[in-house]
Amino acid sequence: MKTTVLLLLAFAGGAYAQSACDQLKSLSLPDTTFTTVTSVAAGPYRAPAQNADGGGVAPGRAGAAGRGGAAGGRGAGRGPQAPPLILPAYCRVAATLKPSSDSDIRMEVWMPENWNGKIEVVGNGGWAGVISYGAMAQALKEGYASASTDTGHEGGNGMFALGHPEKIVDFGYRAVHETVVKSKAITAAFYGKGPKYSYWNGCSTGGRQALVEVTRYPDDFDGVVAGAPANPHLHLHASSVARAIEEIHLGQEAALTPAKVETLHKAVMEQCDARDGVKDGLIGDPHKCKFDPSVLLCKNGDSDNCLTAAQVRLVKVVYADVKTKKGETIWTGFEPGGELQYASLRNIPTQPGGGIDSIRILGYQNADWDWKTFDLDRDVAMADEKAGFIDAHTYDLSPFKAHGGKLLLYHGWADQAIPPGNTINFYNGVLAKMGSKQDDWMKLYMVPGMMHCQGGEGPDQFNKMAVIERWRESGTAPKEIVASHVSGGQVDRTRPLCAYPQVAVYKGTGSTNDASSFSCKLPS
Amino acid sequence: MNHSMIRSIFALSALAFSGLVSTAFGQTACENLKSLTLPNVTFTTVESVAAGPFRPPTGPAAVQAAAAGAPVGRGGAGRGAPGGRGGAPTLMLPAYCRVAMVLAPSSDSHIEMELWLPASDWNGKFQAVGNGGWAGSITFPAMAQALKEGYATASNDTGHTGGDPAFGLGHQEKLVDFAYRANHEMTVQSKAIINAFYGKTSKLNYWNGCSTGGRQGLMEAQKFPTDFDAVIAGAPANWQTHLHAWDMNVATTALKNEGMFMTRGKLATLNKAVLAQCDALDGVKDGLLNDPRKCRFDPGVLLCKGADSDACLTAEQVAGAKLVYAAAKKKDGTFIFPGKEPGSELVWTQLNPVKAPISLILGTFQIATYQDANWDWHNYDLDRDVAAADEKFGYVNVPYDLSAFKAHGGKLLLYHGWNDTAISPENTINYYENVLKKMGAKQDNWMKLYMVPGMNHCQGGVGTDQFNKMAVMERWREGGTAPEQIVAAHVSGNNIDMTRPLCPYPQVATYKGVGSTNDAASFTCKMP
Repeated sequence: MKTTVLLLLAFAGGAYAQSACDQLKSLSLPDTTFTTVTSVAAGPYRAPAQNADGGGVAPGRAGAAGRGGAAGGRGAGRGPQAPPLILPAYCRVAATLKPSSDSDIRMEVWMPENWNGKIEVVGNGGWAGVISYGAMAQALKEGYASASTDTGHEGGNGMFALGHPEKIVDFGYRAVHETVVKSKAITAAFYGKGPKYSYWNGCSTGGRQALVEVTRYPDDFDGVVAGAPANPHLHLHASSVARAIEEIHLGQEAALTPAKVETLHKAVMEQCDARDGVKDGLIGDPHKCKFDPSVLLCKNGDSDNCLTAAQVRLVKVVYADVKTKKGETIWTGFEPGGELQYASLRNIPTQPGGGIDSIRILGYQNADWDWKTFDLDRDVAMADEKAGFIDAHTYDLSPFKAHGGKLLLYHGWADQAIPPGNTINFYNGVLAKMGSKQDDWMKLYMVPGMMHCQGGEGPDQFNKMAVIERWRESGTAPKEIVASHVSGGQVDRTRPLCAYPQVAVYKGTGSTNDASSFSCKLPS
Repeated sequence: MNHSMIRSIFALSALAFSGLVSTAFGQTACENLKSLTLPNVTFTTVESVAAGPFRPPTGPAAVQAAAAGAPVGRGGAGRGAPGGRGGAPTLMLPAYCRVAMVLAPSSDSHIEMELWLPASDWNGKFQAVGNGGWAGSITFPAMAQALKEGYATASNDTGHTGGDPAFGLGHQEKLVDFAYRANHEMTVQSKAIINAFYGKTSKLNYWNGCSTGGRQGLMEAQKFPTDFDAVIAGAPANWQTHLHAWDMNVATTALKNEGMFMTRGKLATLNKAVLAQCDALDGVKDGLLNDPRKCRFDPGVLLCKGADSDACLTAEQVAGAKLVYAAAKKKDGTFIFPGKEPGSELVWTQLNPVKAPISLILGTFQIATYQDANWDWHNYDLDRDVAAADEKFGYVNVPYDLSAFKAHGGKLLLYHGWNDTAISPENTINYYENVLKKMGAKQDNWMKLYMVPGMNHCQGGVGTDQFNKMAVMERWREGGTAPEQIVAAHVSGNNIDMTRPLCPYPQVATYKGVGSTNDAASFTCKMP
């Protein structure tokens, strides 16, 4: 019916079906109000303005890419000197979704001319609250129809959830799923056929969204790229609160000067850098680095070359897993090697950061709740009971596997925002649940020296979408993935990333800045 | 080598060794290098430099380097020294022994060179880096790159200060230094000092240069075939007399017919038309032409039908565009030098409105050939002047017989960007094929050429220009693994937005038909 008419229009138009884009205005989808349906001419990418009252997040840094949110660190965001992306002509559809009476989900789907027949949905960062335009533009440029949502609220904190249980559902899983369903329908109407492959690409909160989709809606995607997953979100935030409170108790004198941080980092590197065969500022497997900061304890008075007892305690807190009294790990600690980027080594907070909203708002629904009463065991259990549905809590991904889905996990070993050990635990949890041989559909790549989603000393640039496409569409499973490090517009190092638990091992000859001088091996 | 020199080298070797055993490595031996006696060498600075951020040395040579406009940005070693593209964080260098010296192999020579020796963790190898244009400055940033990777490294100004070829007026010996002598002298002295400092010879010697540095690499391989074990020669400014004859031919023709000059907007129109016709010839519409020679583009299709605007070309501009695409030939049809490639229009400079040919190209005739500062470009005559240049200055050009280098076990890695508008890329293909003609068709066990689609001069451009030449070369020379496809990356901002295989000529990267066209794994190298 309507779709058929549009199909004819789309093809009859020849080059680019501007009229087909206009026709979408009359498309009727449940709980959906179109706010913008417009043809955008080819040209340099400019982010559409987020909603005027959009929670104070400027469009330029919005989408996550800069903060490591959206699309798997594949583009936008870093170099201020990056020339603007040149985008193909596309049909831009902005819509508001109301799957519940309290829902107000903004979403966009962009559909290019010369469509590659696929859709790439991109994720958010932090508390979301903005559409990830930057990552959408990247996907569009490569020929995908691309979609993103603000997950049903504006602004980058948890206050939206106060008195809005339905908005918590939207943030947790419903907004993304609804966006996927609607995007596929709009894509089918515009092109006359739906996407032949559907991909998710997200990092940070986008990684959590990936795992939630895979567990809750296993048929939504054929391939999922999940970077540095913030999953379970409530545990990540509870652990950050717990760690902050420990730091507060240590007092301001526990803070390290920048020079002391360098001393610490240097000592870590001296002990652990060469373990992987190369002294290069990267630790291939930080879990093999058993570094005890006590070796730096000042013996003859305080100086930048040593740590006081309080500072040693702080360093231990930063490295330590956050555990319940029973010894259950709520989240792993920060890894040795990333010290230069760990803000909590330099700054003792005066109150817990943004993670507190997961406890006081999503959990207690009380903006006045006093963080000083925080009890890890009690409050994690409470938050999980109230809002645990926002997270992926199962290791059984068999429906996604049965659907033919591929899952590419990655996490930077020097992640300064989300300690990476948790992702290894998730991966191992899946193997424990489903059997030890799952590498025909799930792989994890730990990235030495990479910070949150991207950046850092380690080679952080690799084409996740190309990898997952090759896997899903051609059946070629990734083995080693060559990644690059860029400095000042120049590639200064390449390195293979290895499927966990393998690590990149130097062959003994050749440039240590060249990937070919390394091979992936099980750690000795 | 005379006896006193051998003695002093031995004495210094002993010093270096005792330094090794007793104290922090290098320090003592470094300062003592001053007392080394080498023929025609005067040491100006010999000092230990502590580990820390790279800052180009100050002093006469450094000041001159800055004045000359810095070599590497224009493609010294082509590997991406800092300063090349802005925004690079400072390189952190290891401690090293810095030796600055003046070489005077002729009475009129004054060659400033530097040799930097890592104080510890020396990788046992020597990497000499080349110059750009008429040289005239030491290539410090490329040296810093080499040092950081553990090489002893050297560079020189080729015997004069600043990039203006006027230095050659009345100084034939300085022109010889520029053409080949300075680099050979530098290499000989560097090896002697390395031997003295470390107490052992460098186990392998590499040349890494682009542009003039590419010509220098070929010159070394041909004329001094045992100087280097491997040579990386990017975008060689070889056949310099003919290179500049082409430049002069286009420049003087356009200057006499200023209607050929074009705005950037017209060049963009031209480029767009070229891509519309030819981009998809290689199977992928990506702004890159795998082999621009396959693109038979007639700029006449853009002839203005109504009023002149940036959207079309006047008849004169059509002729100008044809001139830039075309090879220069003598009246009798003898080939002089190839033209620029379709696809490269956005970086053309040949049809910019100017008042006179730039000194870079003028100097080959005015200075190196005619030794007459008043020689008037208006009278440029291609047939006559290229013959005169070949006769007077032909020693700057590199012959095709590289058999001595091959016999030495040398490896030669050539590369050239298809969008190079400073040095026509087909010139390097011609050199490569002339070597095959001279030495036989099968030489790929020691020589390979990589043409880089969309790359500008030495680096930059819309193509994938980032690849680790030194790593490729080392693996070949030391590991015996000849390069096949080389994965290269394109960087935008600080992100990689495309990877592609570079293919050994004459192969080209061919899309497999599935997978991201921005990912190297979706391509294979195939014969066209």
